[in-house]
Formats: sequence, structure tokens, C-alpha cells
Amino acid sequence: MAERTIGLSVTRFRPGEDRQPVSQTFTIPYHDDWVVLDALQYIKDRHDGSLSFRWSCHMGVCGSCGMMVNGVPKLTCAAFLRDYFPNEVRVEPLANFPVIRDLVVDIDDFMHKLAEVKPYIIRDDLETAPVGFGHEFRQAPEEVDDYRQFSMCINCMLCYSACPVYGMEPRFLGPAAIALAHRYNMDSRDQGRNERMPVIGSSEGIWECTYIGECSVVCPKNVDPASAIQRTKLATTNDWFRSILMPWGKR
Amino acid sequence: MATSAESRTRAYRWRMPVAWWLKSTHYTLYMVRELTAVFGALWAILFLAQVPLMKADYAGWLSQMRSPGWVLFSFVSLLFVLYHVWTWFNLMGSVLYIRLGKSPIPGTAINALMFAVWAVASIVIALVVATPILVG
Repeated sequence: MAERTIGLSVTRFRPGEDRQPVSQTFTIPYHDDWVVLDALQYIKDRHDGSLSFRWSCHMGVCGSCGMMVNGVPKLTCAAFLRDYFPNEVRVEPLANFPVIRDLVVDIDDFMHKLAEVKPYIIRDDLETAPVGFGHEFRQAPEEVDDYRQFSMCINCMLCYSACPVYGMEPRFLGPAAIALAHRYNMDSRDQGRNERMPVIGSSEGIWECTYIGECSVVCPKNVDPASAIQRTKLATTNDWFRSILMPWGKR
Repeated sequence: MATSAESRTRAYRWRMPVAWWLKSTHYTLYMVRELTAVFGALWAILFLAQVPLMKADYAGWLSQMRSPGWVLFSFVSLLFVLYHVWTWFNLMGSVLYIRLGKSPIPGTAINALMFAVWAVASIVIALVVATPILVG
């Protein structure tokens, strides 16, 4: 029996040489247990060693291998060829990001935004709190449930790629950064909400979002960033009303 | 080897295609949802603009309300508003996070409550509007 094959149309871009990305088609053996990332590695090993793409864990944890597969942002380690076979699979770099080379995009913008929202526990008493058993910042299981979903983010940036608002207005803080800010704001051990709010509540923050909701659709970890953004809108609106009705109260 | 700054300047700047909202059904439905607000607002403005006529020439106002153009426009606007309400209420379940004791209220329950309140409110309004007509 003849070996079954599948076509992969892969975006190529050589900086300094190509004016714009072009697509190159490779025909490779088809295996129903292969994912798109396996196919890209086969091409790199057997067809063209210069093909550039990011990957690391190959198991949906590191968030490195996000690409557009047939126009949809996906982790290529979780996109099975069998879901597309016998049709050709189109692999492109993540939309909405500058392309550095082939399937590699520039993620600096996201990294800066992530740092801006201070995605870590902020405590006033971190320096003075006694350390050791019995002195940790305790949390009940239901308090963990308040933020657990949002802590599942792996920073894969598929949500940025799916977000038309980010595509049109790159200054937008974006889904993952806001979801992670919300994750720490909802953490009962955290005291940094007021430090995050100026960034999140700015015009480039939550109010840019018009709830298209595609970020939550493409999220491989069911984080639901769209929900985090809307909840933050509600929380900041409550803060505003409280500051008007009770100006003497602490936010 | 190119530095990070060099790579960035030589990077290809991606541009959003004008027809992005036709790329997937989800994006198109989002645009439809945004458009529904225009129809809702337009209907309310046009209706309010006709209110003074109700007092000046009631029969004229009534015939204007019964004109096929207005009835069709109202019907289309109603469909758009119903779609808007549907999307808005379905959103509530993921926006409202209320923890009662140890477990949060499920989003589906919040959505169901929204639709139940809507149904009750619609029935009450329908009765208020219909009673004088039915009783005469």
C-alpha cells in the first residue's frame, strides 16, 4: 500500500531578504498520531533545516508552540493532523504579532505588558512577616477556587492572536495580562490590587475590550480571559460608585 | 548574529485585514451584535420623535404606526433587540461571580435567572398594555 501523505503550507519569512512572508508547501508522510508540531519537526529534519519555529515541552504546558493552524490560533503540539487529513494544513505565525522569522513572532510587547500588571503576590508585610511553619499566608480551598481557573494561563498568547481589538490597537493590555492580574486580585493572600488598578483600569486596559470573546474560545487551558476582563470592569465600576457614595471609605 | 533590537526592526509588521470580521462566524456574529444596538437606539429615537404627533393628531399618528414601513422596521428592530438581549443575558453568567458560602453560584443558574426575570417582566408589561385594550 502506498504511503499516505499530507501537504503542509508553511509561512516562510527571511528578515532582510523577503519583503513579506510567503508560503511554501511540503508534502510529508501522514501519521494519525502526529500533531502539527511533529510535522514541522519532520520538515526541519528531512526537507529544510532552516525552517524556524518555537517549541519546548511538546505537551501543552510551556505555551511556546502557538501558531495559526488553518487560520485559527492553536498550540501545534495539540493540533492533530488527523483532524485536517486529507486536506492540506496551513501553518502561519501567530496573527497580530510582528514576524521575526518564518513562524517565530516577536513577543516582547506581551512580556512588557505581563510585567506591568505585577503578576505575583504583593504583601505589605512580606519583609516583616514571621517565616516558618504556622506563619504562612493561609488560604481555604474555596478561596483557591476564586482564582484557580485564571491561574491556569500558560502565556501562550493564543488569546492575543484571536483578539481583533489587540490586532487593531496594539496598545491594548490584552486578555492574558488582564486575566493574570485578575488572578492575583482575587487571591486572598494578595494586597496589591491598588497597585495593579492604574494599569488595568486605564484606557488601554479593560475598557478597550468590547467582549468579542474569541480569546476564551481559543484558550487551550479554559482560562476564560474574557470573563476575567468583564469581572474586572464590574469591580472597577463598583469601586467608582463606592468612591462617590463613600468618599471617606478606603478603596 | 542579529541582536533582539535588530530582529525587531527587520521584523514583518502584521496588519489587520479590513475584512477580519468575515473570517469566522464568531467574529461576524459579534459585528451583528454590535449592530443590534444601532437598531435599538434608532427605533427608540424615531418612536420618541413621533410622540408629539400623538397629541396633535392621534388618528394620523395611529395610521403612521400602522404603515407597512414602520411595522417592518419595528419587526426587524425587535429581532435585533431580542438577539442583543440573548447575548447580554448569556454574558451575565461569566461576569457575575457570587460565592455563597463555600461554592460559587453556577453561571448557568445566573443566566437562567436573567431569562426568568425577563419572562416575568415581559408578561407583566404585556398584561399592563393589553388589559385596557381587552377590557375596552
